[in-house]
Amino acid sequence: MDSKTTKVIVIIVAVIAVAAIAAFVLMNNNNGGNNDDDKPGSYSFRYMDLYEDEFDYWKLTRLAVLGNANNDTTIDSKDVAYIKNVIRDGDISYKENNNKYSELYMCDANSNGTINAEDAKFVQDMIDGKVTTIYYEKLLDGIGSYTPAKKTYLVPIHRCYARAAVLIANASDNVTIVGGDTQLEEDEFKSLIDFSKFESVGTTSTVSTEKISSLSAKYSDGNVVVMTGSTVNYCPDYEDKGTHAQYLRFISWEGDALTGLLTAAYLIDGVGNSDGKDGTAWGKAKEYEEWYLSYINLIKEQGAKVKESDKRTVLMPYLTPTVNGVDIPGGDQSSLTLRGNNTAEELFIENAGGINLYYEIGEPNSYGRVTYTMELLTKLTKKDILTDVIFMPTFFVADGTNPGAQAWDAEKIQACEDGIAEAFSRYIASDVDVYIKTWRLNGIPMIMDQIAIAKVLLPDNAVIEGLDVEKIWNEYLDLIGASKTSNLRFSNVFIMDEEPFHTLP
Amino acid sequence: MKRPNFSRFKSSSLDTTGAGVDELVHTYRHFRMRKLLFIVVIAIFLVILTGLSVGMGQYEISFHRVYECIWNLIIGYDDGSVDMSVVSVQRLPRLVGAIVVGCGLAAAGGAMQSMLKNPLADPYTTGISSGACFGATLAISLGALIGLGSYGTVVFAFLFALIPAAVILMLAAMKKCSPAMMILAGISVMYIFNALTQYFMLTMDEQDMAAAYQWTIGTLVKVTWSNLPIMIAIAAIGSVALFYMAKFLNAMNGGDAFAKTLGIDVQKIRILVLVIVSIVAAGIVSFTGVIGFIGMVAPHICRMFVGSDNRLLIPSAMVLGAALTVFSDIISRAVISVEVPIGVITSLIGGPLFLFLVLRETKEVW
Repeated sequence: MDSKTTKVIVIIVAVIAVAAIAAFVLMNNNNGGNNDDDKPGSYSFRYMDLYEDEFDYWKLTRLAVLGNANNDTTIDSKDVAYIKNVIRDGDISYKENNNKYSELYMCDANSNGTINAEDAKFVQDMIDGKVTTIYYEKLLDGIGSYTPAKKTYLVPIHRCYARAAVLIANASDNVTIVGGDTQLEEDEFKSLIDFSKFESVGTTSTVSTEKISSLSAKYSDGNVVVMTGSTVNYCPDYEDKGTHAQYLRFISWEGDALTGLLTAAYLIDGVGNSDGKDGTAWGKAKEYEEWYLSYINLIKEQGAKVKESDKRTVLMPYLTPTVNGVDIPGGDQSSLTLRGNNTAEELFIENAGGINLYYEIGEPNSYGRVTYTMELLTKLTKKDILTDVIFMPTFFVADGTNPGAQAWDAEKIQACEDGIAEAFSRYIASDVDVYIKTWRLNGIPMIMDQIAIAKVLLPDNAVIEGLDVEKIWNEYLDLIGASKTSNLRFSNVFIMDEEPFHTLP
Repeated sequence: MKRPNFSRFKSSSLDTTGAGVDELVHTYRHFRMRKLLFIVVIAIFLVILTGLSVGMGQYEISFHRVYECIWNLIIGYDDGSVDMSVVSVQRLPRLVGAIVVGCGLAAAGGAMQSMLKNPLADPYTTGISSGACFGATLAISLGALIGLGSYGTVVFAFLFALIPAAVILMLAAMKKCSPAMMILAGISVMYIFNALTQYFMLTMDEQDMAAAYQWTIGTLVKVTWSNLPIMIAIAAIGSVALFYMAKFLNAMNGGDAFAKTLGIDVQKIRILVLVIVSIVAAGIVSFTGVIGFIGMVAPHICRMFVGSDNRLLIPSAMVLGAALTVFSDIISRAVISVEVPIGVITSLIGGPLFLFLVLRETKEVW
């Protein structure tokens, strides 16, 4: 073989290598994005950050289904009128008027990238029950589509979605929980779910696509619907894995859990059912909304009365108890995080007239601002020493005497507190009240979190003091359809003392 | 395997004009047929393994239905069933990945062994896999800093896999560098990269360390339809190129001096083969992590059955490599409830099997 041939072969091989890398990079870049095809539903609004502060949508209680043009909690004739008003000066296209479209994307009911008369008609068809596919905001992942069916078989992944699933399934004869991750095998759910039809699909982080596929084959007379969170953390890209299931990704603890419940319930049986008939998931979700907002609005009212100078500042540390299944020693700074904004707790603190210290200094990440303590310490200044309250996370151990009963691991809590005291000793003033509080009861029962936080931040408020947590918990059980099947006591699943656990010296 | 007896065809007794030639041709054809038969048997075994592999899983699909689904896919017919989706989306990428990995690594190993005339030569002992592993570990360690997103690991693995190859190439360019020196250089580079990998792993947090560890033992879990075309293209083009080089490698089997008498530029061929092998191995392990033993075992076993003719050795090693990888993948999923990384299984099965065959083999194949 002469040298010329050798060179040619070397060049060919090198070109192949470079082309291979380039092709791989390009293929991985091509993960959706704007589609120029203007057919309904072809347009995916992937790159818009639905959690940008300018929208503050995470703070709103709303129905996150496209077509809910006025961003309230239902789809009705007001939305049709809203869209007609918006387009009175002409259509609004994402391509031609990006900024305006971004503000009004909820009007693009058929999700084709243009707000026009077709969207008003599409919304009217949603109200009349004539559409087959509807579009909604997936949590942190742009726009998703959903095709309702007469029968719905739910597979919630993570306990916070299971709680919404219980309400929806108990409200409608056409909806059944048929599977879920191993978290649903906890005591709390034993009396809430019919386990004779339940199949475990794996742990939260290792959900089996094959088991989901098995459920799809078994329940082929309807929709198998996996209810879960963002694709970053839950069932990543499972939509593309051929399971024949639909994936509903909605808010639970990342903002107002009610928004997630309303969205899921509407998608399942809200089309043609705007008024929320009895015996439907959408009807029950609307009932829950009314109950939930009655407490939220009451607390907001009381919180609004707190003067700026009297607002208590709050730190919400969260010590990750395990990483990859390995116990982290208590107080380990590398695993100590603070819960920040764009979370339900942030809303609850704000509602109750408090200030989340971290809100001022944290760095954004996918859920807003949750970061490691050691990073945070470098950003603290003198003004931050005004901390009044620390909500310490609980570390559960099952007590084994009552259904769902849990107690805290005092040793771990003490270790965590020692870690926090050491980390913040240079910054935190003395006499800081430390409360033990669970972060575990996330999802729709987070209303209990709100009430507990209000009781700490508004200690002298007679209205808040009058809120009976046991009574509210029983109302909650009644609403999710569990009062007859469950003897879950509030104190067994939610841990927070109204008195400080400790006061830092 | 029984060897053909050519002693009776020594020139003194050879009848070059009559039945002797016919018998010689017949015997040669028979011998060649047996070699081809070996490839066919392994290929049939691979087809059976395909059914077993794709049929395995928590979603139940019957053995014959697997082939029906695969046939439907080949003819472009989708019956819309869950079976079809499970086969085409969830299981086939892994199977095809296993076949590509097996073919590519075995072809690379076979060519490398012939080129360096050393049974220990393969992408692992020449440091290519270690380079890829270090590149991946470095990318995981640097995370977002490298700015390549989720495919930073693959790109880094590929680029670093070429470093040991470049070192060996530079050595090869030195006129007095023997094949043994090239192997030893590869092993020394492998140790350096292994040490660096271990160091970086020590400095990582638990999650990154788990990701890097997965890389060091190899896995097919991350093989998807989106990255398969690249793997297939690299393995296919590389294997064809190596097959094209087979006649030169055959000549080099007789020694460098003999090859030179045939007008072959030994040094250039060696460099060229090394470049191709490096790209094939790097292109594969950059997606799957280090999968050991296939590149060494498959060609070695084939050499026992088909001899040292690289025109048969390379394709047979590819088929056997694919079968071994698919078989290891089946075992990795079948033995216990938790999936064992395929790299562990290939070493666990390949090691004893290799040892058994080497001890049993009396024939001098090198």
